[in-house]
Amino acid sequence: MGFWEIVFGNLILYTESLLVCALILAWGPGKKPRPGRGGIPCMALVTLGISALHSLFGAVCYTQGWAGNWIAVFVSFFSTALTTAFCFCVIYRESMKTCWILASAFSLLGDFSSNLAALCMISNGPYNLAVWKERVVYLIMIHVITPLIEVIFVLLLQKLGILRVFWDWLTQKEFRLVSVLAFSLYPVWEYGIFTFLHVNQSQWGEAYSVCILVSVCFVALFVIGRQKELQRKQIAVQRVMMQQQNAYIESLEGLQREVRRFRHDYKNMMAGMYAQAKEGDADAVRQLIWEVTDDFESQVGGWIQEMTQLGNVHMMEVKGLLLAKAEEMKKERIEFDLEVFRPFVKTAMKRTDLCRCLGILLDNAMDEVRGKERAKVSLMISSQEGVTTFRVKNALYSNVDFQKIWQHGYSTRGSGRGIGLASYKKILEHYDNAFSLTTVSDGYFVQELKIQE
Amino acid sequence: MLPVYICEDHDALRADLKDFLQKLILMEGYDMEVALSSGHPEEILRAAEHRRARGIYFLDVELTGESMDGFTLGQKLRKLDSRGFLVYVTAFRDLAFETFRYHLEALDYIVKDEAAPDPFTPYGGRNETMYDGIRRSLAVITERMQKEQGEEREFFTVKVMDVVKHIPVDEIMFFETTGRTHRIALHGRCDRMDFIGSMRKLEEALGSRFLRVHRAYLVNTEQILELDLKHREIRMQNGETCFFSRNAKGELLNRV
Repeated sequence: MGFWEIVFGNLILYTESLLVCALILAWGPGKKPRPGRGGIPCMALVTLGISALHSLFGAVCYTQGWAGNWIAVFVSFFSTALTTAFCFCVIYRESMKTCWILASAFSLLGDFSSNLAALCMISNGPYNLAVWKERVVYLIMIHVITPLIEVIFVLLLQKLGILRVFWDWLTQKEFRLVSVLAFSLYPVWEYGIFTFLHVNQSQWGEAYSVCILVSVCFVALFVIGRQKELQRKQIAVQRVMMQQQNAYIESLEGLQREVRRFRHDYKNMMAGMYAQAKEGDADAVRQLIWEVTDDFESQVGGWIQEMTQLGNVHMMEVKGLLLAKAEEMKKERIEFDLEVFRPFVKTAMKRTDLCRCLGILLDNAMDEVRGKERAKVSLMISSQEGVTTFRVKNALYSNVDFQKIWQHGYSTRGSGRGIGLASYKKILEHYDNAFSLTTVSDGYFVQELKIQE
Repeated sequence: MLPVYICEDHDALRADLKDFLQKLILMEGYDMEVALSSGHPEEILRAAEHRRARGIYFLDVELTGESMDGFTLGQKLRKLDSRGFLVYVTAFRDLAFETFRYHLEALDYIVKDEAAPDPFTPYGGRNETMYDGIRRSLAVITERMQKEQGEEREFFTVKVMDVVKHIPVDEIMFFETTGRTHRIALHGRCDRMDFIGSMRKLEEALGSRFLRVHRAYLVNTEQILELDLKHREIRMQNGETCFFSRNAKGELLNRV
């Protein structure tokens, strides 16, 4: 078999497996290719190039006779996974880590399927491709049976709900090192078991069966571990929510205390007014009425106002964040003007992301007005006609600062230092339906975040 | 003559408002007239629809027992009269002025006081602040109308979801395509925003002042500060930079 024949065979096999991966990805989590500036042809060309390099590498290994060696097996596994990861990077423009895990998972799937295929064909060891008959069997195995098993297995995983768990894990984008390592090193221990059992050449079948069993166990372990993790997270979230609820209740109690105190004053004032009315002093009565209403406004009015606005926020996480920020601002003597005219119930953005975005915007505004006289930060949340708008506004105290903020946000790449606008931008990149607008007008710095529902 | 509309469900206050406005218009010699004073938003809408002219609207936010509140009324009025002046007269201090200004481009938000209407002094007592507010609003409206006549500034208008933004063309530095399809970022002197659009259409709409210097950039040539020919970089008046392609160099040098 010629060298180029092998290269070509590899390339076909590899593109085929990539296509299967893409199909599964499109069908499972609905991932669509996101071509870069070069468009689809550029993307396809780059992917093909990477695949060709990989095929070339494989062919060299094969012709040099490195195939049986266990180091070669690892090298081939890792190079395949790495190549696939690169291709995913190009096609889906996700982070390398995500792509790597995805590629490892597909390698695992491919491995499992070929093991199962080998078991079905009950064939003994490496095929001699020079023999026509063996070659046909080999081709059928790798081009028909293996992909078929892959698809059936994926359907089965979907049916069992395991696939969902995996996609969720992947989209959350924070991976524990252990899981990443387990995925990446899967071939090491699988192959270890394989060679350990495979001392006797005649026991192919058993070795394959054990490997398959190991794969199944691995998947089961993953699911169990993931569920545990989810549970832990849920508990943590619940705890935070409890704390926020408590904070809310506490502020309500504070309001109640204020009202009680006011009631006390109010009684005294009424008594005074009664006396004055009895004497027929209309001016004094008028003055007193004015005082009572003004007192009420200054003592509880603002508080009630704030609570009414906050009461319109029906998303617990956001409410908690706003309470915390309001508390912070109260300590720093910054007036917090919150406007939620219509109830705000839900939005298309993930809650955690929304809280991060709002946190960054509010922190920026606070940084700018901190320590200034009559410092004030306004936040407007408005849900209108299928669009939710968050608008943070604060006074600007220097023109120079604004320029700095401008360039800072766009020049610091991901370092997150300074005003955090860079990470804000980064979060928004994940959303096609979120728009950000920044304006300076009449001496105010205005940040808007709009989300199409 | 600008029609003035009043929508207020409190009868005594509505009469007061009408009386005060009529006298004020007469006294200051404004080119306005009180067209309708009513407690029912539907009547106001009908009248505005019939008249189809730019108007001034003094609206209450809380309209008890009516089919809509002042905010919804404002939204409907905006659809009929996009350039009219909305002034809210409300009992709630700082209720939601930002929201009203943002969505309805409300001109002002005046706090009234129903609690203690003073029978002794005409429009006086505590409501003085409200009448001050109305006086100020009319003055601002007149001033704004005079200014509009002299103004010939060109604006770039773009719709971002539910709001329309107007940005002076001479404050735009450049447009940039972002990684995502159809999404364009506007870099301005005081603005930075994303919107959905196409570079080709922008190029057509904005005319020759703007030059497509790069696949990704459409630049306002009047705002260029300097060119860095070596790195093929353009430095704008506000300090931002963008790139130009080799093909655009000749045309660019011609313009600057």
